[in-house]
Amino acid sequence: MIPPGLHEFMTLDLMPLVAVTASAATLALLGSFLVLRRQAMLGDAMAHSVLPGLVVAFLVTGSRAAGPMFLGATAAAALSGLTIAAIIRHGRVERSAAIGLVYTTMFALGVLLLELNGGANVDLDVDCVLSGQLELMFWNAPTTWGEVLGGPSLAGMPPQPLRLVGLLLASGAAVVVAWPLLRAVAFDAAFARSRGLYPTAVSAGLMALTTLAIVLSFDAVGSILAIALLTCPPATARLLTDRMGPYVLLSVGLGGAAGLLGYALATRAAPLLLGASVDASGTVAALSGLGLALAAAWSARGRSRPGLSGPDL
Amino acid sequence: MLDVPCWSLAPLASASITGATAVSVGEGPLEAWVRVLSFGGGYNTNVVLLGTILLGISAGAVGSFAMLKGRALVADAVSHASLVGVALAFLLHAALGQQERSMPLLMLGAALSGACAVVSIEWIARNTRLSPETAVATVSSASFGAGIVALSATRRVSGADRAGLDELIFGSTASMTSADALLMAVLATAALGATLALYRVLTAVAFNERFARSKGLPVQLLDAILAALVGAVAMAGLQAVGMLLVAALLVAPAATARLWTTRVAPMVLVAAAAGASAAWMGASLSAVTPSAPAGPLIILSAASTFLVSLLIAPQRGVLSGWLRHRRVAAAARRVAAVGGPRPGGDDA
Repeated sequence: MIPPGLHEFMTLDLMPLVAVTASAATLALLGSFLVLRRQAMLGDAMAHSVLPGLVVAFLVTGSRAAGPMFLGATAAAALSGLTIAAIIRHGRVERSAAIGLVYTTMFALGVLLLELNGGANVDLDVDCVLSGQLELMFWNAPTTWGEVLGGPSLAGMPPQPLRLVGLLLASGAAVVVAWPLLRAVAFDAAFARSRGLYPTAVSAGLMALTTLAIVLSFDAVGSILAIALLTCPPATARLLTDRMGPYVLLSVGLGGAAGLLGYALATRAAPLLLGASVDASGTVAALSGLGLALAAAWSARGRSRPGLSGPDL
Repeated sequence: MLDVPCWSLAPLASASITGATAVSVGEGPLEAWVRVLSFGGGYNTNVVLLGTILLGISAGAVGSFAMLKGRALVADAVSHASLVGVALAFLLHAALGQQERSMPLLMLGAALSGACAVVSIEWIARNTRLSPETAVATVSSASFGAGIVALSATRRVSGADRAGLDELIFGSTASMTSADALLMAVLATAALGATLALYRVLTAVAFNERFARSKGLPVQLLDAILAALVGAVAMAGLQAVGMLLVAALLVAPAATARLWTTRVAPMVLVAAAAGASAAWMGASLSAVTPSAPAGPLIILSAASTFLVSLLIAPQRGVLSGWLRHRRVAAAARRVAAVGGPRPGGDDA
């Protein structure tokens, strides 16, 4: 027999907790390479600009199946990438302004498509864009231990948390396998190219994985809070260490910790303090920002000391 | 591109419209749009439309200087961060027992949290090894997370009018009263007036900071003033354009204007005109299509103006670049045919 308290936890909290933690850790892992290559704004741009692709895929297929959503998001990300490049080249607009212009436009297009079709669906709405839909991930958990490993309750599990855990493992494996490449490309792309290491292919692979992570995280944290998890844990880790291995590991750890702790704060501590639970994914994002604030204060204090000033990022 | 298909008017009957903006009986959507566009949409609609146009003018002018200084994305952080301030101001107001939504108070909260965001970004960029871009991305997204938390806490407040809070995220002109529009117009006009008054010094600082400093101009103070002007436009646009999109209203008209001219005064004028026309198109379209929020429509109008300009602008446009390329290639062929000096030589 599973005790009732644990059963309630498994039904209401286990799946959202797994989803938000796995999503935070994956985004922090992939974001660490964005921040290392000074492309934090690109993560911001991608998370915003995949929205019209997601909405169109949803409107065409009528479901939130991951395959079409990923295709739509990739198409939208590629379109905005090409548009940004074309604007910088032909319009000679500064990079940050071009990025800002394109991603807000794509986001506006996505919001407009959503609102125009707002009455027709409840599955995909603007609240979901803002903060995900963790509260919908309940699991009709079994009442005995024997049923946990098999039986109908396992089939009734929401698919998103499992997908996110799968993506975390796959991204982790990809990073471990490609580690020498990633390190060479991150520090000296020209050198990497001269050694036949295909820096462009490595970047494209990272971008594809990041897009997939943003799409799958849409359910867990929404597209805007995903940016916080793509950028804050890596930036925090960057302030705390100078070596690449510990940097990436620390970033993943900080992301996962923000996921666990944020969910606990939002659903357990907030009812005690405020009388009601607050938005969990927002808490996770805010917590990752708080971590960065603490690390920044600590690092600024130590910055006057010699030997701690690495290359600026 | 912004032609609204008829099916989008279907949910019109169920949508709640507070202003007198609905399509009249027996009128097609296009006719209704033209009527609202030419200020035939009733008093409230006209006031809101005029206020939004003023906002567009102001955003174009302020955005030009923000862009010349490379500060375009600061607006993004200010507006994302304003959600915390808005939600906290609302909670405070409700805790004091007030039921009505007070727009000035919400704007004050937004301004305070936006200012905090700008200061944090500057501090991070100055005192840590993180780049300004990383600082903007982290501060704006994390503070938006905090805003979402505060917004979810307002759901507990019963009886108070919190519907307006959600509308501040994506913008809605339909729910604006003429008092709201007046507040927006006053703020936008003040920002515009300050920009014009400081026109010369802002130009000097934007182009040559060292020169400006040698002339004894308070560069840091002017930076802070420009940030405050950007913030004022972002606050003014909170209700009509929404906090997630108002940054684009500062960027798109300025980027459009840069394609047409290389001088500052014409750039500010063109940007103001582009901002005004985007606001005019978008707000009037939204008035006849209540299911479509004004913010995205205004931004998409501004973006399509930019796109058209990118194609046809006389000097920097894609089309003129292509024609120039063809002319040069043809000249080179002619020179080669008569056996003259080869292109690329001293005489070519």
